Amino acid sequence: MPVLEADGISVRFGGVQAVRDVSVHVGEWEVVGIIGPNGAGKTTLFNVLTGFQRPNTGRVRFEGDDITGEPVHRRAALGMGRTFQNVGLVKAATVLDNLLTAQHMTVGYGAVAGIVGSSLAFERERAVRDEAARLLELLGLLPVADLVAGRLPYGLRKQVELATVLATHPKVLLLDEPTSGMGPEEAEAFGERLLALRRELGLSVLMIEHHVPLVAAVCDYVYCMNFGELLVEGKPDDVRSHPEVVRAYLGDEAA
Amino acid sequence: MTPRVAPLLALAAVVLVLPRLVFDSADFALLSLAVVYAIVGLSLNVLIGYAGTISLGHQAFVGIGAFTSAYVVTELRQPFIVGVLAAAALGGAQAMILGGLALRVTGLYFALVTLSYGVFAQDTLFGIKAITGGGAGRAAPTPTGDGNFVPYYYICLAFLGLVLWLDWRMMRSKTGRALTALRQDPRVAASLGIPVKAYLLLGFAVSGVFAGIAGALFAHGNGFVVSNDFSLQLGILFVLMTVVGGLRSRTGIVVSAALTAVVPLIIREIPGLESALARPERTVPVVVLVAGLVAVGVGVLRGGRAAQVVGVAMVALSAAVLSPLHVPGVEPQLEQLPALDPSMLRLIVLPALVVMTLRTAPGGLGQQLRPVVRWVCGGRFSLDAGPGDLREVVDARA
Amino acid sequence: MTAQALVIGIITGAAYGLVALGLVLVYKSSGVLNFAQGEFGTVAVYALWLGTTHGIPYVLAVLIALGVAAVFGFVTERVVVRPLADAPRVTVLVATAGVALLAVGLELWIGQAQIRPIAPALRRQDRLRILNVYISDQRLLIILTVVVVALVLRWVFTRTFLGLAVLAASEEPTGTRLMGVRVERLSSAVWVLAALLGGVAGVLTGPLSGFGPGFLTSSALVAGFTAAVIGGFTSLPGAFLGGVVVGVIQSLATSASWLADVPGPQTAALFVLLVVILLARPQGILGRAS
Repeated sequence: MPVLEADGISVRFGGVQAVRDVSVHVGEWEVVGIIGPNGAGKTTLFNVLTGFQRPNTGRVRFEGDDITGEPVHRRAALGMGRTFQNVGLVKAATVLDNLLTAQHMTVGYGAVAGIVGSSLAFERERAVRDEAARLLELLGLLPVADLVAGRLPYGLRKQVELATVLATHPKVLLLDEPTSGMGPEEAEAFGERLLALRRELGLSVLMIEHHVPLVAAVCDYVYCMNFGELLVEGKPDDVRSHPEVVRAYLGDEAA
Repeated sequence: MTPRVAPLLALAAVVLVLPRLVFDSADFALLSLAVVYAIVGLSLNVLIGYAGTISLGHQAFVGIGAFTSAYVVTELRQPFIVGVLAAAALGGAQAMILGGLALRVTGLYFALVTLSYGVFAQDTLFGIKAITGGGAGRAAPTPTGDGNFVPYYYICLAFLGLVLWLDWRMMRSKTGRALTALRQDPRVAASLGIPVKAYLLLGFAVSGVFAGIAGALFAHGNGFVVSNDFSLQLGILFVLMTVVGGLRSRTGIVVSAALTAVVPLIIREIPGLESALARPERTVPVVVLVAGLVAVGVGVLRGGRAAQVVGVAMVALSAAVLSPLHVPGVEPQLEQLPALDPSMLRLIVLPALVVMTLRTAPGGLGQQLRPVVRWVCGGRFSLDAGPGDLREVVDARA
Repeated sequence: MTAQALVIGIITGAAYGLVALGLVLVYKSSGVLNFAQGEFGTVAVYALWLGTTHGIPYVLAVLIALGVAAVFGFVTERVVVRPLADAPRVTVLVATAGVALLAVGLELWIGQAQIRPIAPALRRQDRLRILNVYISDQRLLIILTVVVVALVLRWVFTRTFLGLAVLAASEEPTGTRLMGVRVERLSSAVWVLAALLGGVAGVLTGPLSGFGPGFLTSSALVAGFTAAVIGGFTSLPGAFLGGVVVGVIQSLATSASWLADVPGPQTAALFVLLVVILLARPQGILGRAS
């Protein structure tokens, strides 16, 4: 059974058809890539999957349950973690506080208990701090724990963002251009880390990605979108050499 | 970090003992008001500072608390504490209704809604005769006895302590982190599993509860509530004192709000200030002289030609007025100026401070006090303690 | 009488429209909600009052009053608005609220907490009568002024270089600057113009029922904002029409028998109107969706 599944998704903005009848699915343990030129509708599709955008038609299913109408935070609770193209962090807070924020769902006491300062809240806060420290250590981010997230260099911010998403205990990771702004070597290192994370945490991954070598190296399956429609899907190597894909990226003469 | 005991004891002495030594028991009415203003400032801070939503109608929040408690105590014959609890509950409830609107209407438009709400509350809600006594107002007896403000001051302090505790716990728990996240980026907050709308409503509720408590304390400190107590001017004053105190800084806000309330006492205690205000024909030229010198200085530093010319003119004119020379046309007019009342001075000084704060130190008083607060909390004393988000004064959702 | 309420509404709405025009002018050109707009007018009335009580002829005193308002607007822009050009817009709003409070403080000092009468420009009360409502010449003057000002401003914004430059600067300050337009000067010009409009509103409406500290803020700022919202916040004729709508609805609320038991029906109507409009059509009745 696929972990995440979208079926016949269409989105229209006024007169513009941003996404037309697109279906994707992500199986357990799978790493799935979405490629396509700018403006192909990839991020709109992502927003439909994560709940920021209601589709005009189509259904989204998570572990078999229809979640098309569920709000963003409910999907996060089900186990969908996403990163943002421009790095989704609480920029004015410290790295540690970002990780505490990310444990909102698992913190284990109610909002009112927190405000009145119940002993349970104190106790659970300690556990949450330990968990944050553990995650930071795992990702080698402990040295920057007390720095303000928004002031870190770009690459480090992306790593912190990944750490916060992992702190939400996701079953499926949705990564929006995780290697934008990285050089080829960094991208390769990222790919290895992603595969290691999948092994250790048993994650499924859906990612929008431009680095074709990375897609070829880590993805089990690839969708290529163009002008809001699904152009081709299949194994990375097949998609990569498909004439339609080459034409979409390079223009007609090249095909 | 363990807090330093000596400075904390000193602080306790200043708040608890010093007023008894310095002030008459009559002055404690104003000191109680200072504590009430501090609670109002903390209440506004929850909305503007934490949730990132402006409120220009906070006088309505406070007023609803005031009338609720007055009604519960005088009409329903309940004890004072029941009145305060009812005020807190109703304050929270009305704030959540307004918060429901904030889910649909954001930014500058929501600012207009709160503005209109404040005026609507004053004219319409506080005009409902059965509950508020209409324009005649409603009595709200001081629980410690008529005119006996010294114990009342300590009751108010206890409530301020409670509010500070709740605020501190909130910001150190998941609620505070959720509010910070949704203020800075609601999309990120939601994708971390935070129900953004619910927490925004919770922020309104907490702010409303604080404001309700403040309103009840205000009413019973005054002995009487009338709708005209809660004008738009008061709402703006609340916002200004909170911004001057420094959003997200409990210390700064408490100090700034308290100072705003006790301006008349300050004026009385500073030697010569009262008589200076009573003789504006001498004071105004001095102020103009100083302002002119500042303008010349700024003009020279920044190369502003106009500032220099205006500054020199101001200096020359005020010097002539202050000198034994008679300046026709100006001096007779100055003689006619009425004396400056302390409450008017507040309306003039606070806006000037706000403009200064917004222009040069958006962190407000809280940022200036931060090194001291850190030191008291047990950290090392260092003037360089300016942390993260002081640049954003009122942000994101607008 | 509904028809009568309509006439009264148009008469009072014209004054709101005048305030709304100033608000729209500033918003259109800088995205700022100017809480000091009412005080631009109140300060002018105080100047007019000081002038006439010192024996200055009325017309001259009016000109001086408008000059005072213009200087106030100029100083506000230079000292408060321009240094905050890069700040969030709510921050600027708080700053202009501060300016308004400062003005109220000064008015309280100079004029004390009193409502004072002041002579209108036109004294005749009974020249015109429509549906049993007398419309004083001063009221007519207000209606005439607001219509003329709205049309002239519209012409400026659509047909003149100045107006187009202001619009361009509000959309793309950097690009406009690169094209050789001095954006800072435009900002000054807009605020002086808005303050002049506020001054006109103050000088014309102050005599209607007397003035006190902050009178234009408390009598017309909320109504002016609501009028501007109805007009879509960027349309100048929309601001005028919005003012009339607000005036009519307020006068209907005052005369409606089923609202007789509601205290402050005018303010209640304003609040409900604003909320309903913002929920139903956030871009205003006449505004276009962005």
